Amino acid sequence: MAVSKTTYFIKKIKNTFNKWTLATASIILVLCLPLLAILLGLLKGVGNTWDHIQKYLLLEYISNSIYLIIGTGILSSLIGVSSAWCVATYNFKFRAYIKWLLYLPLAIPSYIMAYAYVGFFEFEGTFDKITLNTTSGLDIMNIWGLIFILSISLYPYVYGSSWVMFTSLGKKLWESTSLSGITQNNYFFSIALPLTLPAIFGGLFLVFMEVLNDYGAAKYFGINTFTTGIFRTWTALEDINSSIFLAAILVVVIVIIQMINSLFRGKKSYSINDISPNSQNVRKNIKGIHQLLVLTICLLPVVTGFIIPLLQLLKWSMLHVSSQLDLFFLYLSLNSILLAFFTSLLIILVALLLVFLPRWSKNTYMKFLTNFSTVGYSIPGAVIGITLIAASGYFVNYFDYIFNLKIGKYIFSGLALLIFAYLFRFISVAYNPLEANTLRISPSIPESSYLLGKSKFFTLFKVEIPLLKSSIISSFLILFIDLMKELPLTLILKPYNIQTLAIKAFEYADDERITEAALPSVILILIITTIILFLSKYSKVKAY
Amino acid sequence: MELELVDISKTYNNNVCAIKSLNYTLDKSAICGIVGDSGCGKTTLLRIIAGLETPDNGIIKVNNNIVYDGWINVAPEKRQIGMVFQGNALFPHMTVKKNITFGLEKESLNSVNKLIELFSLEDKINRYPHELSSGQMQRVAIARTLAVQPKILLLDEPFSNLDLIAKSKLRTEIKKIAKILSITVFIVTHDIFDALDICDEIIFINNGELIETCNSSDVKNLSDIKLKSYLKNMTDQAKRFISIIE
Amino acid sequence: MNKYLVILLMVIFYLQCTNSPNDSSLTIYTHRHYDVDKEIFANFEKEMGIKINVVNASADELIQRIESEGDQTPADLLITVDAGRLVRAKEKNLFQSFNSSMIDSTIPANLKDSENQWVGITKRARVIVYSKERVDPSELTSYEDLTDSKWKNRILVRSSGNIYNQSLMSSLISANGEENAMNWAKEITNNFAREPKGNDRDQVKAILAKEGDIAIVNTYYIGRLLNSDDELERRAGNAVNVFFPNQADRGTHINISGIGIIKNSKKVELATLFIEYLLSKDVQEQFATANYEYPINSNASSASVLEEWGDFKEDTLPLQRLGELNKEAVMVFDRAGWP
Repeated sequence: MAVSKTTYFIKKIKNTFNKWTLATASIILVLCLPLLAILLGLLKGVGNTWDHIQKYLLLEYISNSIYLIIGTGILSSLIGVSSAWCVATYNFKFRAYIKWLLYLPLAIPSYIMAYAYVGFFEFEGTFDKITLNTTSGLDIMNIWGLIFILSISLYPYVYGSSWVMFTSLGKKLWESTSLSGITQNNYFFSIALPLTLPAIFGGLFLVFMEVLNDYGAAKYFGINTFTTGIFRTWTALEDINSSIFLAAILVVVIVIIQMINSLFRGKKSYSINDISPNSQNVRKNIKGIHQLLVLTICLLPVVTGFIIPLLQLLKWSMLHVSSQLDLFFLYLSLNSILLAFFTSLLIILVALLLVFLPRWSKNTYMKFLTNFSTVGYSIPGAVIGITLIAASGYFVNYFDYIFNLKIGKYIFSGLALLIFAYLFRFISVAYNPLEANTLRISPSIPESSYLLGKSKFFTLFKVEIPLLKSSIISSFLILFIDLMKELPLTLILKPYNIQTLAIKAFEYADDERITEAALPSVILILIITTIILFLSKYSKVKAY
Repeated sequence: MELELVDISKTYNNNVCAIKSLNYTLDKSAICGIVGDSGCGKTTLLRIIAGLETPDNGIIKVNNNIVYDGWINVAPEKRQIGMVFQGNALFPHMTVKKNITFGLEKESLNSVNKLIELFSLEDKINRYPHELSSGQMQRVAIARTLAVQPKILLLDEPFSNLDLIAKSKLRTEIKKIAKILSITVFIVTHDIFDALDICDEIIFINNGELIETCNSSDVKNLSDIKLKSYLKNMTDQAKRFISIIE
Repeated sequence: MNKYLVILLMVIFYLQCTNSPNDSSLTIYTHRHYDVDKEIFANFEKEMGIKINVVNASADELIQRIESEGDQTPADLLITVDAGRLVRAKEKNLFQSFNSSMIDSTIPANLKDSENQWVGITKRARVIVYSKERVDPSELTSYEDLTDSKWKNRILVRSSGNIYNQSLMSSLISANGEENAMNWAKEITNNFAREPKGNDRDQVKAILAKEGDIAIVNTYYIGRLLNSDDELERRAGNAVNVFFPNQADRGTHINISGIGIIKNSKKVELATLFIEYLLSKDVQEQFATANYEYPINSNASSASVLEEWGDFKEDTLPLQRLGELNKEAVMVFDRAGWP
């Protein structure tokens, strides 16, 4: 009996540690390195200015960040949910276009939005001229202004996720509830909203992460947040230990929120499978004053979140266009596009491996562990950048010490570190939708392929990837947009001959030459706008 | 020996026992029915034979070769066992022809022409799965599996989604093909009459345990009393029904 | 086949971006991202036949980077926009000393490191600008005087996270002691016209918008506003005059943009040559005219706008002190509640 127990145990181990498990484990380990490096900060403890931080700063950092999260959360969900509801339930003029225009604020980096709005509302600025100098400008450089800026630039995350859910609720649900005498309004509050809540929270979570990641806008507005605090501790108080400690606290809090979120979603996940075209919502036709109202609800976010800032930037860029615009901008654009393109491709590949390797390994622990390799999105980019610089220094020195090889040249003046950082930060952007969509493929489909004698990789390329095509394309485009806008990682980790539009815009803005920053921003925005409109062609049902 | 299962057990993580020490041997090629209520472990057994699930214990031999014994674990793609899943699992993005030739090295249509003909799919080869009826989809799925010439064919509830006419047509075709290709077929079904109609041998499974094996020609010699009364009950109902329509 | 092509392209793209620096090149990590710097670097490349690679980022990030890169750093030179960061780099042992008779003879001692580890390349003064309409310049005397109640709700300044404010505070600590500097910071916050926010330009624009009457800003921003393409910015520039404070005592607070040679650089001679080039009269005048900074080489002449403001007495505090006191300055800001 004892013998059979032992063999049983050994067999169990052998089945657990197959080659796919090892492959999964090594990818997860590599992807978790930055996370480990940050969390090591918790063990290292605080630096010598910690008492000072606690006494004078911490409370303000925390409370400002909480105000920002709550304020932006409320405002962005109001905008996002109301516009998504209108687009999903009503038929009105230009609906087909507005549906996609509502995504456009994503094209404008939030700190550029902040600069543009300060310019728009400044004394004798555009707003002042429109109102015939009756206002002497509007001071938006305060926490309310920051909430406004962040909300109008981030609401598309909420809009996207709730729109998909509203659309997929299906007409059967609406018909069966309307038979029981529920009005449209009651339907929204008692049926549609509760069903959509998990999706709204999913979108809101992304908004929160972006709020915590924001550095430029908060700094410009003079609002001290947790993230600006991490920087103040590092740069001004010269205490990198306390700074990494603060970052690690933030990461722990975020991971906990993420787990609660996934627990909440796990318990309350209403899967709505029926998304074939004929089961979608029947949209109500509306006319007159109602149509006007709905148009206002849907166009207001587009006007404030895209058109006004773009016009302001265009106005500024006109001042310099003749002297500034040259071939260098073409080179710059190509550089940004190529970098974003290839990195997105790489991230998609790794995300696919991360989706499929744990499945192949049949090891449930691996599935759990992948959660950790996708938290990068919730860590402020600059924190990742600094940690990676420090960690790579150790790595290179260690390599030199052990193998006597000087690899610094390839790490420090190459793209490797930057691309790895991108991978760590943005993998979840591709992983989450791919994982969700893979769940919708019946397991018997790849299994049929294995039983027909085909390998796992053959099946991946011939069966699973073609079936995931539309979600791969949409994740690719979203990654592309994120990477085009990315600032802190690129700034900190780029090698010397890489220049991107986002960096160029930042350099001018940092140098207080906002009018000069406008041209690269406008080019960046136009490229991203093109991508979003392209995205509209490819993802019919699922946009986020 | 075609297939030998020795002391197969499988318990899922939530401690639900799917298969309990199951022993079974099939000497020569035959059509073999696996009958039992839903959730009794029939599908798990097929998946274990195919290699899609790993048993906790036991040995599996195909044609006297061990494909699983705890140390050896031949991957499903190398076991040469074909399986048609419940709900057919056709590749939705490929045409019928692409589906059927998927498992072949090159698109050698010649070798599958016979199959296409056998299942009378000649005029459907350029259609996509969603353009077919469920009977046609089931036949494409079987043809796709047979194209790679497996040693054993496993069918999981092949008749479940079909109307009566399609069902009887498919039964005839399966019988014919098993004879032509002289291949061993395992059919999982919850419907005893399907099994009685086409199977040479029937295995009864209840709660993951093999309770009875018998030749389909001598069902009346079944030893299990419960099973016997069940069968009698069903037959009586059928007789009453027949008397009504006549 | 397509996927191999894509992988091939990725590899080529990567290699393309990894052409490592060679002997006849200099790699410069710089916090300055002015267009004029790029022109000057390009001229140097042309004249000397030496390739210049530039990495732009903030000084803190660059210092962290050089520190981590250790003896395998590709960097030869570090340029910052304030003295404090140069001192920090020196404290972290990232610089090496360099000798140049040209630098010895042209640059005053307070504008360079005592051990020749760094030297200033341009100079800016942190001055008070006042509304031409609403302020009589005779009311203004010194930074210290700004705590006077007559300035209640009239002073505009950016937040304390900004290095120029930190340097000013360091100079005040050095001149008056920490206790007095602390009181100064507390009292001046009572006179603020609004919460500190925005950048230096926004403070001047706020004077035009009558939000406040005086602002503490760096000189070159005024020069830029006066020469802006934007009409509103020109008006903001014209609405104010520059006042150099503390002319009766220690002089107006100045700071520098400076440069040092990285310790692990093997190209000291080339790097020294480059620094001398930046300090040569012509290049100094180029900096001055394009960016409205004060030249550090006394032979070079300032931009015409700067000339109009006239000469002023500079605080001769060795700039090294600014770096040494920076952290203390930040803590004073925090304690005083200057956000």
